[in-house]
Amino acid sequence: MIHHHPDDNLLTEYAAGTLDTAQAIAITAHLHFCTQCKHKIMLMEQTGGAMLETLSPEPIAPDSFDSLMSMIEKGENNRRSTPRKAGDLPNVVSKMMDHQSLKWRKVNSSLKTANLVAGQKQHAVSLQKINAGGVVPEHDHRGVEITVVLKGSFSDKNGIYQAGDFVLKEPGDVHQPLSASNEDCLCLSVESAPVKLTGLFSRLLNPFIKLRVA
Amino acid sequence: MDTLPSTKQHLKVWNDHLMNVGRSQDRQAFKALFEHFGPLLKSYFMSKFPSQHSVQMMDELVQEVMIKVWQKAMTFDPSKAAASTWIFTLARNTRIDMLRRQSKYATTSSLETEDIWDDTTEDGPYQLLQHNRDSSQIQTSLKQLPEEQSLVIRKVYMESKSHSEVAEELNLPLGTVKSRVRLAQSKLQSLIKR
Ligand SMILES: [Zn+2]
Repeated sequence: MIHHHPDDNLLTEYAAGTLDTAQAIAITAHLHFCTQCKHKIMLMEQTGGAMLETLSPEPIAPDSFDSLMSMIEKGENNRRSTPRKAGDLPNVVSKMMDHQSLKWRKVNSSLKTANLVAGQKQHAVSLQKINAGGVVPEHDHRGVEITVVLKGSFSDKNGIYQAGDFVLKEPGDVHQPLSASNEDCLCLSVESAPVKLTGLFSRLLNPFIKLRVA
Repeated sequence: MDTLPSTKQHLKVWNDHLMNVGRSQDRQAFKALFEHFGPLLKSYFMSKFPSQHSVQMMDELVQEVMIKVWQKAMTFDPSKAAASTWIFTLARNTRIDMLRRQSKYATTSSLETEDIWDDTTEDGPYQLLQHNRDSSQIQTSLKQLPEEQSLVIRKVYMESKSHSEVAEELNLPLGTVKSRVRLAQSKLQSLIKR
């Protein structure tokens, strides 16, 4: 059961096609698990369709249809769409994983991360794997960080997040994710700025955060 | 030009044309779709890219959408989405495609726009789709929105502006734009669901 969804603003920007690529990838990953948001998107797209009908028509070059038909006949712009694999992971994620060799980097004893190539520069897109029972170092967010749980679950002081859950952290949200004890947790992460680990140093700067020993 | 679709009958015409293109590559039906939607699509592209691009390029974007209509019509399922809704998603994706083509980073990715913004109507949630209302009903609902909300929602959908771009243009705090969008969406959705 999914309990954490993107808000209507993010869904609207996705439906209208103005959301940045990386964040849209996170939304698509969530939609793989979430019928409720998928339904909302369809309603939002209906609004787009209805608005399209209300625009004032702009005349098109008279030969446009004929040149279109000749392009179609010549088979130009024929695009082969790759068949989708039905699987546990969202298509968008497995496609990125299939097209590159993942380089897992160890952050600490329980957290590994691998960058994903998402074709944009605004965000860092990565996979994060937390070992069963593992604890991620407490960290702050300099930018917006979206996490979509792909497998397993994790929790922090605000709640438990399971497969499909969409978690958005704003700058200044400090949290310390903790994986469920019985299975590894795999997440998709989209961050607008590198996550700053709040370790020993920042404890001094930020006396309100209690540092727990992992 | 055609008059605005105002009856279910009229909307069914576009759905049927799409079905015929999908089933039998019906050129007459395709031409009718082109003549109706082409000028609307051009208007859509022009509102996003006013004056920066040549008129010819706008016509090419329209052609690009219509090629997708031709190629993908067999995947169109009228029980899941109205013709105008599906064509809107194709236009949206064509615009995103164009922007991605201009970005040097997009080429490093194995992802196509359709991997990120689904344009198929096939795998929509079945059980939830009694809500496939006709667009005239949504148009009526749109007219009932307060002016400040409909202005924002129009800029978001038809001018393809992000919330922050809308905030900047209208000289409003981002939070105000966000709440107007949310209010408009919840109003529209409650009207649609009724
Ligand atoms: Zn959801």
